[in-house]
Amino acid sequence: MIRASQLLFTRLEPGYSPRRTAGYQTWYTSADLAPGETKEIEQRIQCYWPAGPADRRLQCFTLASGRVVLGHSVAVMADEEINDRQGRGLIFLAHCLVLSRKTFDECENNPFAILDSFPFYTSVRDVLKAIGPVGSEAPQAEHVLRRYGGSMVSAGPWGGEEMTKLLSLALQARQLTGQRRSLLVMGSPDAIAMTLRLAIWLTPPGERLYCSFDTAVDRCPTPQGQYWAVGLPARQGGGYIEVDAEGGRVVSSVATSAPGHDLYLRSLRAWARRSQAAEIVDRVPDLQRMALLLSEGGSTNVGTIDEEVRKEVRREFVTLHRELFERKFLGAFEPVVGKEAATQLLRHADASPDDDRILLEIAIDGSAQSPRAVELITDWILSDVPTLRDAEWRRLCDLGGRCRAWRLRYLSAALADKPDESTREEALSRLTQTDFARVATLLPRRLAPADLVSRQHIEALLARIDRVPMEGAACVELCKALARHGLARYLDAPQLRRHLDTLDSREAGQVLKVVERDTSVPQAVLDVLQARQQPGLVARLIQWGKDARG
Amino acid sequence: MFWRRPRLICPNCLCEINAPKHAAARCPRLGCDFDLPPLYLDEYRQVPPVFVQIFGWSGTGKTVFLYALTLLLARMSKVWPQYSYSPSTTPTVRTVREVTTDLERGVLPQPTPLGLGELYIMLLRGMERWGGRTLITRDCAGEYFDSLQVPLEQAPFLLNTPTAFMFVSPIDLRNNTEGRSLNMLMDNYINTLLSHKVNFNKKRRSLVVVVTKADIIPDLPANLRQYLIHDPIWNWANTQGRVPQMDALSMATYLEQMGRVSDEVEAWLQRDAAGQTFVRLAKHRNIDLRFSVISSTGAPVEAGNQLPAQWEPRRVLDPFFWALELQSRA
Repeated sequence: MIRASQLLFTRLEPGYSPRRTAGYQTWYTSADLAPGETKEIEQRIQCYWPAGPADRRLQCFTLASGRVVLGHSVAVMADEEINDRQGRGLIFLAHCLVLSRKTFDECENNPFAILDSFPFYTSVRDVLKAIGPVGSEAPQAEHVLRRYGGSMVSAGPWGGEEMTKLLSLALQARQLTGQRRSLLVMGSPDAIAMTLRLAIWLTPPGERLYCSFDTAVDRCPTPQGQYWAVGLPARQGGGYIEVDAEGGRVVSSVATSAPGHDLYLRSLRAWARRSQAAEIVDRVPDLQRMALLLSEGGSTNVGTIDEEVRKEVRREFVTLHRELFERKFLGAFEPVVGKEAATQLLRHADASPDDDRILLEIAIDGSAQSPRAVELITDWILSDVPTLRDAEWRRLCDLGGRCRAWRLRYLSAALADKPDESTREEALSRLTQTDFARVATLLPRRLAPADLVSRQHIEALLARIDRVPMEGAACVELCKALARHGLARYLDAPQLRRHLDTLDSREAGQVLKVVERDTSVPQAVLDVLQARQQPGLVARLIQWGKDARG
Repeated sequence: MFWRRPRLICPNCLCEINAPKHAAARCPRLGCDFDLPPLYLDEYRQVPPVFVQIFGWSGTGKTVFLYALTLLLARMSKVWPQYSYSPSTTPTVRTVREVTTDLERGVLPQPTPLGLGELYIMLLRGMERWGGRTLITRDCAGEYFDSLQVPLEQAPFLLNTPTAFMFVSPIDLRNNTEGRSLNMLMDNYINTLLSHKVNFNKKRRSLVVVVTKADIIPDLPANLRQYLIHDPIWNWANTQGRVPQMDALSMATYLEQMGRVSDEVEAWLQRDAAGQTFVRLAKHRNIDLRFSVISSTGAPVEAGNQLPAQWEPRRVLDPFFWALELQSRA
């Protein structure tokens, strides 16, 4: 629901005039309209020469106060009692809505979202009936705003190439009006409105505020630059930038670049070469959204991509600007992982089925510290197990610490040629069960079981080593790690016992040395270790002793 | 001796500027930037401008007068042997066209909206007695003349041109419910000029008071009514085939008659207090008054903004002749 102040303007006879004078004047206003605002609106709407009874004029402009005016003027036959006792035929009735910037923003700064749907007055008697006798205040207008989509916008005779020229003119609106230049949109009233509707639709919401217009300035000298665009039935001198609304083309030669909007313009231009105009109109909101996300940046924006941008459009957009996105990607990661690793990481991202989303997110966020970036690095490490220099591992480890990405921190600490054991263990203790399971997939290629010993994850580790082969040396290190963490009692676990049974005498001796004084170690384990340490004669003697006792 | 570029007056901002070197030019003055009509530039010396400010309340017939005047000016080649005319701007061309179409349909123009009116620039060549002149004026909405301070941006010729047409409609004044009287219009005119520091004694102002809708004034004196109805220029301009041509003598005679009519109208308007005050206010400020009676349509307008027949304007050239005469003497 939007709310707006109102102003009504027409020709009145003294009996219906708030000033008790005959002539064109403001009839009703809402209470909150300041006198200065009323005067400013009057100056903009006061001149209109409707050519026929079905004529209509649309206006959109901003007041000095910052409020936005949407004007709707219709030709009416003068009522002899209310409007003109001389009955001189056609006059006009102007009905203006005055919106706050915040309200206009709710409409995505699209005046047609309201101009096309609001029930403006088209009869003076209806106005009298609705508002009341002269001197009454016009109430605040309330209107339920419906979603304004591409289906409401027609491309008409406009093809893709010309649409991009029209868009570039809209993107230069602020600059043009500052230079006291305006577009002259030539054609019938319907064609003019259609062209402006299309131009506004193509323009990103943030820029639409500068696209002021008056669709009918015929016979009303209007200084250039007062509006971005004015409508006339035919060409008129004055150095305007000419737009043929009936033919769907920009007649004047114009610069087709718009600093700050190059990506959006280039995208539209590329699409224009191979898509139908209706398709372009349909895709424009997605394109605008992505361009906005890219320009605003920030990880908070990334989360909205899936809701706000259709997948196929996203994919096309990224494909179209692949080089740019890859450049941004490398730019984000090179400082963190180094040039070579960043390139490898990019290849990894490219191979993902969701590569366009990854590239877009990294480009929006702009850094390697986003959750998405960290996840990507972690996935890369887990899947590709890259060979990096220790300095690069350390940088990744720091990144993991800063971002509290414990998987990354653990892996970086563990996989370096000179592992950082304390960091590794600290990170390991913070892993969730899921994270641990994921990390443990590196067993036994790049991680040793000993690297994964922790109180929190001992059960999971045992389950894991049950499924993977383990060399004797690795088993020894595991046993030592268990002992170090006070987990020596787990040497008796079935998953470990079978590995103990394969130790050679030296290995068994190494383990025994660490655990023989640990009272938590079951005797059976010690027996096995002793037996492995001294196989053959010793084993027989031990067994004879047991038998004798037994 | 240094060669000095010729100077001319921009019809839009009324500033004196150097004559441009080429035909397609714009006024160089900041804020003006007006597209100078090529014809106006080309024939400036031969057909110098006559600026006229139109002044009058809403509904007094200002726009209709301009249409009717255009109609006559388009036909004066019947009457003046050397005469030709050229509309010099798009709005002027449009007026010529609308005059033709509305004339055929018998429809009056719609009320003039507010805002700065478009420039009407009509080159008139070979006028007997005055030669060539470019009539430059702007129509404007009568609402602007309701206050003591007429906004100058809507009446841009008011300050800088010595001649104005002041439209009064006695028949509408009788029926008005706004408490208006004739002298109020003069008050507004004088007050506006004074507030912009115009010195009435330094340069004399001329006002052509145009009494409109004279055909429906019931108590118009008989001689004035006869004068109105029997307009030879309209008859000749509206006649197929050869008509008498107005030479210098016949123009002088016509002007003389206009002078007598002016005195009659002045006397008639002063039959009430408002009229007396009106005239005295002007004389007190040394304003040179001339009076005309006209009917832009020639017949009353019926319901639905329709005329019973085609337009038959009467004496609509008189105010224009006064303006030419007064500016020639100045």
